[in-house]
This record gives sequence, structure tokens and C-alpha cells, in this order.
Amino acid sequence: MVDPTSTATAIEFRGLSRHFGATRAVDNVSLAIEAGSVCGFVGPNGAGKTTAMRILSTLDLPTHGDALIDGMSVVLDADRVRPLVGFMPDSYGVYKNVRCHEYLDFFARAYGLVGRERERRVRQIMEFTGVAQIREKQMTALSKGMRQRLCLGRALIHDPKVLILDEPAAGLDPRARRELKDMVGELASQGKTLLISSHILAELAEMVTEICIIEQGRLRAHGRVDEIQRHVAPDQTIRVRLLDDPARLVTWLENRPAILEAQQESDHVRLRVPQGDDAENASLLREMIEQGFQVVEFTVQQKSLEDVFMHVTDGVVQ
Amino acid sequence: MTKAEAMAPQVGDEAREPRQSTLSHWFNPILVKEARQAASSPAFAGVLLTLIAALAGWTIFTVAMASPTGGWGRSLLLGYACILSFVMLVIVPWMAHQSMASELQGNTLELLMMSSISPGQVIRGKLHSVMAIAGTFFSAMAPCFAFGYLAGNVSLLQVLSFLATVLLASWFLSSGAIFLAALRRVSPLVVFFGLGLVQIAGGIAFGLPVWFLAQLESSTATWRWLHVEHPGVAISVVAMALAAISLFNAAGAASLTFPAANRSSPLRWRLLVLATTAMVFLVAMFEAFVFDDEPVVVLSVLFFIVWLGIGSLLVAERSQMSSRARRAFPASRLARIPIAWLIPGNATGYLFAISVVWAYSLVVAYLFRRPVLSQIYVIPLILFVSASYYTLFLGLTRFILVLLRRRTPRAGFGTSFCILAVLLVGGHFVGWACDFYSLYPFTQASFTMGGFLSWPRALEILLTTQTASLPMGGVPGSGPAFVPVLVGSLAALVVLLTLPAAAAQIFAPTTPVPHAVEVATLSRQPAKPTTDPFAD
Ligand SMILES: Nc1ncnc2c1ncn2[C@@H]1O[C@H](COP(=O)(O)OP(=O)(O)OP(=O)(O)O)[C@@H](O)[C@H]1O
Ligand SMILES: [Mg+2]
Repeated sequence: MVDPTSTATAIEFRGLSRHFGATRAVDNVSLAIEAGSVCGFVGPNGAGKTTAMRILSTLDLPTHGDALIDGMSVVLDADRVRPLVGFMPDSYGVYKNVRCHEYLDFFARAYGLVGRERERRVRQIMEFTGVAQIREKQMTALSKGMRQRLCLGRALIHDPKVLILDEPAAGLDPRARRELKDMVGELASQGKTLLISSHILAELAEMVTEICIIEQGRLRAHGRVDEIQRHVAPDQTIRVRLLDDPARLVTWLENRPAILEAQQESDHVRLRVPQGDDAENASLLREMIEQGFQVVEFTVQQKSLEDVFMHVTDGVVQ
Repeated sequence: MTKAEAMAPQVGDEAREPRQSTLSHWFNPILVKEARQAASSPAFAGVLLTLIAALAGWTIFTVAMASPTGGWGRSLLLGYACILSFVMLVIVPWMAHQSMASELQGNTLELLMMSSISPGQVIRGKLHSVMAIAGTFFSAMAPCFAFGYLAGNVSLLQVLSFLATVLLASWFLSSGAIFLAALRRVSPLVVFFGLGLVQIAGGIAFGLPVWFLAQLESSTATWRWLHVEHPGVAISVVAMALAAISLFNAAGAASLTFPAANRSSPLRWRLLVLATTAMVFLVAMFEAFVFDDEPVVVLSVLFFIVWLGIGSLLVAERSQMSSRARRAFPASRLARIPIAWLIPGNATGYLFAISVVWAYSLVVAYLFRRPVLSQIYVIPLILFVSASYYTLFLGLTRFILVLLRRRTPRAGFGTSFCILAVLLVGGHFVGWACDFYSLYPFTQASFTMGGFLSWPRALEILLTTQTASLPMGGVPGSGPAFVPVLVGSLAALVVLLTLPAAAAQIFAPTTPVPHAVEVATLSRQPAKPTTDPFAD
């Protein structure tokens, strides 16, 4: 478990840039991700997510700037960074004539694990990722979901502090996605720092503690999801359903200065209030009840991550 | 068991664990993986079965056709030699190439490079696993060779030396094949090494059985490479092969590493060892046999051509060391002086290349110091002029490349090789046009325009020694002393001009090792996009 008060930085970009000819795949990005957090990394196609993740995994070098893992530079200290990072790329190759447990065993050896420790680690990983049931299967014969599990297992084999997952949920069925989510939660609870890129925003939002939006190589937003939501949308919508006639509530609400708009929609009322904290919403609800309204439902509707994404990005594809 | 429990270390696991060979823990992981893959690969089983079938077929055929007067033992052995040569010199290197190429094409190498395995380990793992497979083939053939030895009237030394040579050649070719497969893109370097490799491969693949045939045919072996009387020659040949294997491995590992890493120093080390073994070979040959001048001239020309290629590679290096490379070198300037020639950079590379050439020239000149007339040492003079030309032209190539890079920073090895070629050919034409023969590098006085354009003549451009022999031929306008003095002093001038750049590379500042990140200075807010200080 990670000490919640600790502010150690696990991942840091310092003016990170990676240019491919005229394309600025990553363009002067600076950000820091604290140890123990789960950060969603989103952006349109070609935004530079994969490029940035590859640099973090020491598979590519920045054109300018640097990236640090646990305070060590991926440029200068690649050898010390590698044991700290587990990377699951969006596409990767498989070996012919290699069984699942042999694959994990191979990478355990590659990471320098020896003897009983290696065997134990391989078995733990197989149990954690659910590969144990298919341990004798050939790698080439695996389904997409199983292959993803195996690859996650490979990324975990050396017990890295930082996990970088590039579109881990792509191509998975709903059950597999849920299981992936559970695994991510489990890993986060062990204190690992995760950076996850995904286009499936609804599910990503359930996994992450913070989010980082990048477009055309530039950082558009970074912070806790609700902070960004608040920042992006100046107001919020509350849906209220009463047992009695909603029209009376609309009239009552219209006289209140804090309410921007109140509207009756069939059996409920939708009101727009300025983006505030939850205390104000609570006092509004208390006042309604004191006024004798029989409130059945009172829902603050946050902007979804998808709305935030659409708002922050311009939709320019590189 | 929940997942969290599964991840936590467990006690009592040991009891349930299957017993495994503890030896395998210490092997190169790649070797273990490849061996497992081969064990379950149909291709490997197929080759092994075909090999056994071929051996059995040949044995039955030869024994059945044997004449009662005997002598079939030799042809039996000869057939075995051909089969073994084919397997070891064609199939095994091809397997080596495939195992590396599939790693690159199958997109699996990156995952491997992220682990604690070094590129060198990857290359060596591939090579050793393929040699382990070769060992399987070898042991399948061992009983056959024992049978052939008993049946045929050959000496044990002949059989053993044949086997050793095939093994060494197979090892060499496999390392070359892995190197070629590891090159990520086709560059002039690929063409350069590829052509050379094909030549060597072809030579060895055909030469060995032919040689073995010659050994079997004549009861007194005329071919004395591995003769016991001259162990120095054999030892230096083996040393050269090992140095070349090591160079291939380092070059393969270098092509798997980022350009920002220091790829030059490991290569230079091995080049140095290879050049030294080549010189030792020459000395050993000189000690063992009486030589005419002609083989010496051919060997020198070969050496110079190879080093022209390596020289253009070295002067194509960047003049600035990357921060990664600088980190790897001692911070102390004093400590850098002893390793000055290994420090990456085009100027140190130039000095490195010409030093090797001059050392070689001195060794050869000393061995063949024979005056033609009472006062002229022909071979030393030829070597002096050749080495001076080499120094001059490679130095000019470096200067032109440095100037060119101000406009096109991407210019690399291919460009430097082209500049060198243009200089050589251009020098020839200018000399020819001005009727000034000292500018005729690498050519001969009897050239005519038509003759130059014909293909065999064009090849002779590279014959350094013929140029150098010009002054001795009494060419109008140049005396025997004039050309060496002119070319030698120009070469010395170019070397002098390079020295400041070399010093700058040797004493380049080191990259400081950063301490832990200063957390206080970090902001969780996105930084405002500032103007890029590095923008071109
Ligand atoms: N090796 C390369 N050579 C040239 N351009 C590249 C290379 N790799 C990436 N790019 C370019 O860099 C930009 C960013 O690509 P990247 O793969 O990082 O995007 P991404 O955010 O991962 O996109 P997606 O969501 O589609 O996976 C794209 O414009 C891409 O064309
Ligand atoms: Mg991507």
C-alpha cells in the first residue's frame, strides 16, 4: 500500500518532444504523475499516446526533453529504468512453438529472475492473469483476450513499479474488459502507478484517478477527472423528480438567483446550476424538502469523460 | 484464492514445485527459449531426419557399389564431408539468419529489448542456440565419420582438422548471417558487408570440400594451412576467425541499439583485434613460407580496400557525442587519454583508421624490406605511398563530409563512401587530364581513356600499389623521391588539421549524473506550451 500523503513522482515528462520529420508526434509535454495513481491517457488517433508511452518504456528516444521514471531519465539511465517499467504495447508479436508458461518463464529469465523465485513468480502471474488454465497452449493459438492476459502477465513478471498499458481493452469482449478493470484495480491497490491509454472512455473513467488529455502531441488537460469536468463545464445539470406536480417546483426555482435555468421535462425537472461544490447542492435539496416538495430523485449529472474529451479536443487527426 | 493472494508471495510453494535443472537458470535466456522452440519445431526435426536419411543412403549406396579392390572408404568419407559441409555451411547459417530475422519481422524484439537482456546477449543467445543445433547435427554425423575413418585410409589429423574447420566456418558464417539479419534497414553498409560475406561464404562452402578432396587424393598433403609444422599459421587463422565472429556480434548488437548509445567503442576494440590478428597471420605466413612480392601486394591491397570501407564508416560518425555516450566515458580527462582512440567521433575515428593502416604498412614493409637496386626498397616505398594516399583521401573525405553536414545533417556512411569514391576517380581523371602523374592515385601509367572505361580497368582504380609503383617506372615529370615526399607531406598536413577536432572529441564534457527529482519544482498543471528552445 502506498502512503496517501506521499507525493513521490513516479512518471514525469519534462518538455518531452518526439518529432518524425515534420510530424510533431509529441510536442513539448510536461507533466508529473504521482506514485500510486492510475492515470488515463486519452486523445484522438495520432495524438501521440503510443509515441509517449514507447519513450517511457525506453523503446524510443525523445527528440528534445526527457522523461523520468522514479526520478531516473529514460534517456540516460535506460538500464535502471527498465526494471521499473512494465509495458504492454498495443500491438506485439508472438513466438511460434512457444507455450504460455514457457513464454512467461522466458521473460522471467530475461529479467534476471532465477531459481525457485522465478518459478514462483511465473505461477503467481499465471494465477493472477488467469493464464494458468491455458498454460500448455501454444501462443499462436490464443484468442485476443487470452493474448492480452498473457501480455499483461509478461509486463508484470518483474514486479514493476510503473505499468504502462497501451489500449489494453481494445478488442476485448465486455466480460474480459470487466476482468481487466478488476486486475487494474488490484494492481493499483498494490501501490503500482499505472498509465493507461484507451478509447473506451466510459470504462476508463471507472478505473482512473486522474486523466491526461493529449492532442496533436500537445497536452490539453491533466488532473483529477472531476477537476477537469468542473474546469471544462462551467455549469452542471441536476435532475429532480417529485411525487407531486413538478410545475410548482419550477416556479419556486425560477425565483432563486443561483439557478440558471429550470425546465420541466415530462415527469421531472431539469435545472442548470453553476459549477459548485456538493455542499451547495445539498443545501438546495434540504431547502426543497423544507418547502414541502416530495423529492423522489435528486441526481447531479456530471459531464461524462466523453463529453470532456469532445470539449477539450478539436478533432484534428494528425 | 483471490487474485491479491495469488500475487502475494506464498510459503510452502517449494514442496509442490517440479524439480528442474538448476543449470538452466544460468544459461542465456534466449538460448533456453530457442532450444525449447527447436525441440518442438517441425523444421528442425525435418532437417535432422533428412540428414540421417542422406547419411544412411550414401553409406548403403557406397558400400553396395564398392569394388572388391577397396578404396571405397575414401569416397564414403568424401560424401560425408559434402553432406556435412552443406548442412553446416548452408543450412545452419540460414537457420541463424531466420531466427534473428523472425524476431525483427515478428515484432517480438522490442519486448525483449525492454527487459534486462542486453542486445549483445540477444545476438550471442541466437548464435549459441544455432551452434547448439549445429552440435546436434554434428553428433548425428560423428558415428559416420568414425566409420569412414576406419574404412578409409586417411590420417586422424586430416579428419579432425576438417571437422574443426567446418565447425569454425559454420560459426563464422552464422554470426555473419545474424549480423545481416539484425540490420534494420538496407543501407550501403548492408551491401558492403553482404557482398563480402557472400564471397567469403561461397569461397568457404566450395573451398572446404575441394580442399578435403585434395587431401584425400594425394597421400602427401600438399596443402599445408593446418600443417603441424606451422602451427602459427593455423593459430592465427583461428584467431582471425574468432575476432571476426566477435566483430560481427558487436556489429549486430550495435544495430539493435539506439544511435544515441555508444556503438563505436565496442566496434573499434574488435576492429583493432581483427587488424592485429591479420598482421600476426602475415608474420606467421612469412615465417612459415618463402613469399614472392606478389601475394604481399595482393594482401596489402585487400587490407587497404577493407580499411577504406571501415575508414569511411568511422569518419561518418557524428562529431558530437550523445549524452548517453558521454555518460559512459570517464569524467576525468586524464582517464580518457589512454582510451582516446576508442572515443566515438569522426576525428578520433579517422586517426584510429589511419593508425591501423600505418601499423600494417610498417609491419609489411619490415617483413619485405628487399632492395631492388642497391638503394631502393620497393615494397616499403609502395606501402608508404599507399598509406599516405589512404591518409590523404580519407582525411579529405572527413573534411568534405563535415562541411556537407552543415547543409544536410543526415549525411552518413553512404555519403562518406561516395565522397571517397568520387575523390579516387576524380583524382585519377584530373591527373590524367593534366598529364601530371603524381595525382594518378590508384592507377597505372598505361591507362587510356578507352581502357579506363572498360570494366576490368575500372576495377584497377583501387590498385593502390600500381600508382605507387609509378615513380619507380621513370614517369616523365616525377622523380622517385618527388611523389612520396609530396603525398607524404600532404597526408601529414591533413592529419595535423584533424588533431584539434580529435582533441575536442576526446575531451568532450561528461553528462552529469542527475540526482533524484526535485519534487517541489514539479507542477501538476499542464505546462504552457512555450517556444521550443531546440527548434531548428
Ligand atoms: N515511426 C514513426 N514514423 C513516422 N511517424 C510516426 C511514427 N510513429 C508515429 N508516428 C506519427 O506520430 C503521430 C502520433 O502517433 P501515435 O501512434 O503516437 O498516436 P496515438 O495517439 O497512439 O494514436 P492511436 O490512438 O491511433 O493509437 C502520428 O501522426 C503518427 O503518424
Ligand atoms: Mg496508439
